Amino acid sequence: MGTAHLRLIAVKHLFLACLLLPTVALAAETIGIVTMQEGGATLLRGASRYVVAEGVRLMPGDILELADKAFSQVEFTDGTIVGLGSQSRFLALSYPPAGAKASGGELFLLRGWMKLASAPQKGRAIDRYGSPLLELNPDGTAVMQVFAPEAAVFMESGEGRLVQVSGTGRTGDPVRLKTSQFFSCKQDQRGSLAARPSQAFLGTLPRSFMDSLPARAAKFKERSVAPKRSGDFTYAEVQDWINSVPAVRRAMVSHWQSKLADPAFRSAIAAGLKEHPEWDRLINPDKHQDSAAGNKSGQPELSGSR
Amino acid sequence: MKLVVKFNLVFVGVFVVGLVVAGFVSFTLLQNNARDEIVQNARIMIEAALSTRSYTSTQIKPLLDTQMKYVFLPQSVPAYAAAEYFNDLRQKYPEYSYKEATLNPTNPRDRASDWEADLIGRFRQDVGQKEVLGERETPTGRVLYLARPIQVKSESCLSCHSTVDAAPRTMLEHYGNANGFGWKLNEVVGAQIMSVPTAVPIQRANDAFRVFMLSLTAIFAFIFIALNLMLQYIVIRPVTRLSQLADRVSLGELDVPEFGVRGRDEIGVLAQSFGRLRKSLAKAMKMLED
Repeated sequence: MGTAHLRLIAVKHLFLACLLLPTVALAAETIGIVTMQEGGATLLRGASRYVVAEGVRLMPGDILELADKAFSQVEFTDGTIVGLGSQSRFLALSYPPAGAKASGGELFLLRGWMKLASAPQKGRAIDRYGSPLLELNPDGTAVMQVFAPEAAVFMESGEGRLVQVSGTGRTGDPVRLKTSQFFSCKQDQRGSLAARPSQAFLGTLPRSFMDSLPARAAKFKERSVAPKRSGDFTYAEVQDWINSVPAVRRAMVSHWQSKLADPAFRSAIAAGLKEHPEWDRLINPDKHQDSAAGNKSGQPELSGSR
Repeated sequence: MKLVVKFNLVFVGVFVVGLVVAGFVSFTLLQNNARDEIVQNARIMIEAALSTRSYTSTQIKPLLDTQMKYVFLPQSVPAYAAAEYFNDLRQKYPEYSYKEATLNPTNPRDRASDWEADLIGRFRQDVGQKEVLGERETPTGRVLYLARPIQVKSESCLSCHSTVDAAPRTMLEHYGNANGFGWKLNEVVGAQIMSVPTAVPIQRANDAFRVFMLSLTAIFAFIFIALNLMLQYIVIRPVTRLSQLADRVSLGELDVPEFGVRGRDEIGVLAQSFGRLRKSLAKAMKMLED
């Protein structure tokens, strides 16, 4: 496999991506609106970075990254409201298409603080809130804190079902979380349930998270704000996403494969394939073609699954 | 005794009697007014504390309900809000003190003392009684107090004071589960008590009395001086001069100068009469000599 061949493949990918991106962007469904923005935040959409402002529409696969002491509130079309605190890294991992009868949407908090108020059961699209250390299926309002290797959830009201996620992506036994209960855990250690949140949790909780998340979507119904592009991102800036849990890693492959046209990004991906094997079929397509020919199944090998 | 002395003795006598009567009447009036004013102020302050309680209960507490799930915020408690409001007020009016004395309080600082418990007992026995005004002796002196019952009138009070299970967990963390429960709707659980040392109305009345009496004395002094000056210039001096002229005439000195007549008052008429008398005397003497 020569370098010229690799470049050719990359250019093809980039060309296709450029052709498809506007179509995808236009066709992509708005799933939520940023209805409150304090402090700085950026939006990673496709291979670009944008500045977040109130009124910006979110689409499936969008990533929000908040600056220190920033706060964002996102209201989703199903009625779910999410507040994000200082230094949070948030991904709208999946969202069922409009009109879909089943729910199945998932939001993912890679790091930081997230307060979530789930939508009424009827018409709810988002039913799972993931993170590298735990997953929550709430029916009510909860606050999730994720700063690896620790994570915690406080059930402000309602109930929730919680499972721990191990480093290999496997989940533990479900825990039922009732109003006012608090669950905290460390990576690869069994978590504990408490009647009240810890002082450490309360001491670092963003002040605004103590208030209810106000519904403001109606204010932005007629006002759509286009996010302002602020440049590209490097591998180092997004490697936490690329090396995250398998479901997120897979999503990142489809979002950022066009970035392989950037030699620095490509070499960084190639150097860390152990951490993100999902990229292997793009980095070494010949190997997978051979494997497919031998296997006849044509399915790429993806290690790890949720 | 000279005329001026007689006049001044009478004047001073009247002044002293007037001052004593005015002092007695004004002192009593000022004492009562000061006391009434303080009681009225206490009523206004208790009403303001009640308004603060109501505002906290109906408008502030609902806003803090979510926050109360994380940490206990005493700002959501009506009694705390009223006490804080009053603490601020005391910066300007330190003589007033306020307590929401309760038989079974959540916050130990609100626990009723013996005399306060007696007062609450009176309100509990006679639920129709809306206010008690009284005085009592304390180590720091006599105190005037105004008390009103605290009655559980809203279900919202019971969210924190009915049972341990119903109370917010953050409140239990803060105060424990031993006190402040078992309250019932419409029950009198405590009393708002506003206290003021009686020395305050007395001092206030005394201050006003002193100013009043000093003003009254100053006015009397001014009148005293003015009347004495007037007496001197209008009565005593002309009469003295007339008397000296009369003495000289009586000694045969009939060519004394005329007494200058000024005005048509009684002194002027007397001077004119004396002038005519002197002329008549001179004529009579001349006729005798002839």
